[in-house]
Amino acid sequence: MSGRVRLPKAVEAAIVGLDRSSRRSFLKGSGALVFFLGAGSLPGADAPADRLVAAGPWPDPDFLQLDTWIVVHPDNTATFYVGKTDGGQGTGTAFRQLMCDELDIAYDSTRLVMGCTDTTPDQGGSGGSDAIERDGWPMRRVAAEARRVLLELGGQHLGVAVDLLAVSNATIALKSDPSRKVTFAELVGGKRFNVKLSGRNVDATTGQAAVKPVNELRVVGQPLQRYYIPGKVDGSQKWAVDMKLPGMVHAAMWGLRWRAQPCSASMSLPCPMYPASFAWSVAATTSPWSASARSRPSGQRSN
Amino acid sequence: MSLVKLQVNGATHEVDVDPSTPLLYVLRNDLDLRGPRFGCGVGQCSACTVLIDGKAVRSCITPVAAVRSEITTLEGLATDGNLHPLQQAWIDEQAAQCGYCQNGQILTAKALLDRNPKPSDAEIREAMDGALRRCMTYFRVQAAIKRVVSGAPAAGEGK
Repeated sequence: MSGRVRLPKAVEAAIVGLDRSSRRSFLKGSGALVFFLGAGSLPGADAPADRLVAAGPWPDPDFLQLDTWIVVHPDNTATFYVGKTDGGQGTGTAFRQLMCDELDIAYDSTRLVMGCTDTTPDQGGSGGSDAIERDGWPMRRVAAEARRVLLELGGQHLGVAVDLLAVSNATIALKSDPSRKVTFAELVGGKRFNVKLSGRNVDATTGQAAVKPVNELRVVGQPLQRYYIPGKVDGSQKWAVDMKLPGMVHAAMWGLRWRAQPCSASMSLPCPMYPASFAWSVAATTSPWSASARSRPSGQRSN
Repeated sequence: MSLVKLQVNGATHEVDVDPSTPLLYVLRNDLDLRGPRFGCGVGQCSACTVLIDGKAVRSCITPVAAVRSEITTLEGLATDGNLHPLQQAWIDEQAAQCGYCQNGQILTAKALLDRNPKPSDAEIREAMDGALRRCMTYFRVQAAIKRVVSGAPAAGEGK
């Protein structure tokens, strides 16, 4: 038997919340998956400004809300949410670097959530060569806007004009007296920014703030290690193929048909084969081994 | 279906499966291990590799009932919470790109160093020949293996 499941919410919940429940527990119908992304609705200090509201189920996919992109936590760390995924080229690390520089927060004080339909903005498909050139720009601009809003709140908190303040490592201080300071968390930790952005599409998303000139970037340019490699060398990384849906015993790709792509005369490489049609469904079966043998394409080359 | 007893990463498991089930399916589906992965399904790509009797074995074409010895998966390389030197070298050299095949790369390298602790470049390349990948970071893989061979400290040590 097989049946379509509701995608992508159930799929992503399964990926993100995957635990070590056995497939038999799923069969029993008790495989309720826990959805967690780390942002959480943590209790925070009271908001210093009226527009900050109590912590709630954010962010959401609305790219015109600042809260969609950046959440500051009560421990003065931040989580960035971006609508791109990283296929191993290191773009996720680079996105964090870009946003850290604009927000003025240490790289190690941040984390990044990428490409989750229900909780990140949708920035379209993820490539390699356009990731930084195009997709990093709205990230930089919203981080710069968050810094601008925080400076404004910091000025209110400290009772001084914004141009008298400096920002460093998620802390706003008076330039003339650094002992007078306030942290990002004290201003918005566990709270919404509740700031509206503008832009006719996600690529054009912006706030009022300008991004920093290149010579003021400090995190960008550092040869940081990609943060996800440790999970890839010890088996702890969760992959799409590790996804288990409620009730699922076995899943396989079905219905692949292959055809050769026409090659230009200038191509010297063998013509690759691409899927001509791609149908995907999840099968629940009591005989996973026979099901997998049945569904495996034979005599075809993959690409 | 029949009961099959397996020794995996120091623990004993008993699973009720068709004896012809590929070992990979049992490791992933019944034992919830994520290190070994389904790649080609025909024993060619190495994504499913495990260590059995010191040899890098393709678990996707190994019937579970044929296994008689201890199985070590990627999850079993670390000891007392410390990564195996190869795993650390993989991080230090940033050897992975997408990382899907790293299981096969690392375990194939482990089998190599267990039988030949001082391989030459040519021997490294020959041993890793069957562990296929598409991202072309072969030179980083070789550098990671040579880092272990030379006993170079992990990145960040000695500073």
